[in-house]
Amino acid sequence: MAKLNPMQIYKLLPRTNCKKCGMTCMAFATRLVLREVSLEECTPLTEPGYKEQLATLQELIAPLLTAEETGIKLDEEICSGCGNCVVVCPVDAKSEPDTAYGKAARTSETVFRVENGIALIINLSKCRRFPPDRVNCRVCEQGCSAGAIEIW
Amino acid sequence: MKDTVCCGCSLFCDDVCVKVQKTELSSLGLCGLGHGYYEAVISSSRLNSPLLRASDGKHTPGSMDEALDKAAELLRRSKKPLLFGWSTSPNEVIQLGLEIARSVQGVFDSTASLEYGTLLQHGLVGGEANKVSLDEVRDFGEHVIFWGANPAESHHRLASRFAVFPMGDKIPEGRESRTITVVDIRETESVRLANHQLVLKGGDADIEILSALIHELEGTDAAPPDQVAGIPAIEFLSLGKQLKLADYVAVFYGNGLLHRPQTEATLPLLTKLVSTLNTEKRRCTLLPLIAYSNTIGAVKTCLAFTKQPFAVDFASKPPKPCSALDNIVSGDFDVALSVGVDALGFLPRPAARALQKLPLISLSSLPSLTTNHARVVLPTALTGVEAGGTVNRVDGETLTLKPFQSPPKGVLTEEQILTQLLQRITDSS
Repeated sequence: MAKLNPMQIYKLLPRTNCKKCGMTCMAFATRLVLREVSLEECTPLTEPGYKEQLATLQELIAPLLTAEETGIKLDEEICSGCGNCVVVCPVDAKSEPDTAYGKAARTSETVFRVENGIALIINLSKCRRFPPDRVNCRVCEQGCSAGAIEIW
Repeated sequence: MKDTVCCGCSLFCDDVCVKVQKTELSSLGLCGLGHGYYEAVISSSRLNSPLLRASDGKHTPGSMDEALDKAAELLRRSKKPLLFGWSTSPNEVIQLGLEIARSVQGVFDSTASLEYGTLLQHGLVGGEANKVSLDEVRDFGEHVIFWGANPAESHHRLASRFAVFPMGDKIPEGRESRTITVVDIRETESVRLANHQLVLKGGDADIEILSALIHELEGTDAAPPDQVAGIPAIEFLSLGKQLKLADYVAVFYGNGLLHRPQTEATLPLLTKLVSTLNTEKRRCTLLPLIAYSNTIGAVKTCLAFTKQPFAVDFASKPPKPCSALDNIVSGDFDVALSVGVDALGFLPRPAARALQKLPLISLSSLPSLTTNHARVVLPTALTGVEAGGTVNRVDGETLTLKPFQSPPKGVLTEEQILTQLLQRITDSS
């Protein structure tokens, strides 16, 4: 993945230095590239007039949200939908406590959820491997008996 | 999304939900097997009209009345009918089956006679060690052993709901608080879950390792052998040590132990292992992993009705136990009714071949080998989706199925069909 340049981001921000996010636009752009802030924190972007810029920004930062960032790959072809990942994931235990006791994930708050007989990663950004935490957690990979989850 | 109890396997998961829209099905929490079960609802091959075999051998659609009349006539005229299947049907349906068997003086048998018969024979049912709920295993199962069982591929959610991963009363850390042992003759998916992975070598491997383990647990001064059944001493001794340390050991066993030439020798040893582990300080439990969803319900209902678990001949009074399989092979029956289960696909080949030659009446939601060969096919509502009732989980727990939609036009529930069938039979006699 080509490295994102803060200037690319800065040019698309409102550049008003309103500081609603607590910093200047340039600082925001830099921290966005470092994944220390999220795009939603720039509230003026949702105002009319910024629609196109917002769309371009979302496109630019999209690669940050892909599996490459956490190194998790879930092979839906192999997955049996057993839900081991849902139950072992420590983030799921916090988001939907019943999952830690073996219940199926039913809300949209968990990292993993079994839909239509297959486990899906529905909130990758919540994964502990995801910046800024970047914890080297591998419980889902270890718990997957089908061998459908791979972390590299 | 509708809350539902999944009838895909004997775990009857009750924490799942589904949504059915004409040709689209979506689910939350259902495993692949469960989702596959519900797919029958939207399947284009679903049976939606009774079928009658015409004189040219081809199936032609008929009315429900016609099909029921024909089925009742076949059963009524039969000298010795067989009523087989049942273990995917709710208990109320099984009860009706028993009543029909009584009124036509036929033989009632469920798939349990193959799956459950061996267990009964070896006293693996009804004891204190066998009275265990899966919730108990979740809450206390410190050491869990899967012997000749591969739940990761047969009962997908057993590990995540009960036996391996969840936290419980005495299992504060979930997976980390448990020790898992898997004993099998090949490296199954379940082996990947285990701390102790015992992939055995040799035909009598189960006997060797069970004997050695019992010996070790009973305490011995003799030096351990270098290896037992291909398992090095160090692995084997550490397993013995951890078993001694555990307060609660749950043992699950499956077809890997049940349907092998050595079964006669291994099952008594398994019972002995469990009783050796059962001490004042430690509870050890033993549960079979049965495939067909309501096998336990079929056994319970039959026991309540006849005092026999399965294979009952109503020709004698009181009804007496029989060996329905042997009777099938020796051609004793002249008509067979197959309910829920694909009898021709399930039974051992000699029995299936003999059964195939009989006039068959088949109750089924989807086409199968049995419906293909049947003289009368009665399409049924899907249990748990379009038909309700009571069922028993693999550990005996009773669950209630609530239907959440009506069956396709012209399709009745097993309960409705059998009620009408029983009425037609009793009315004319």
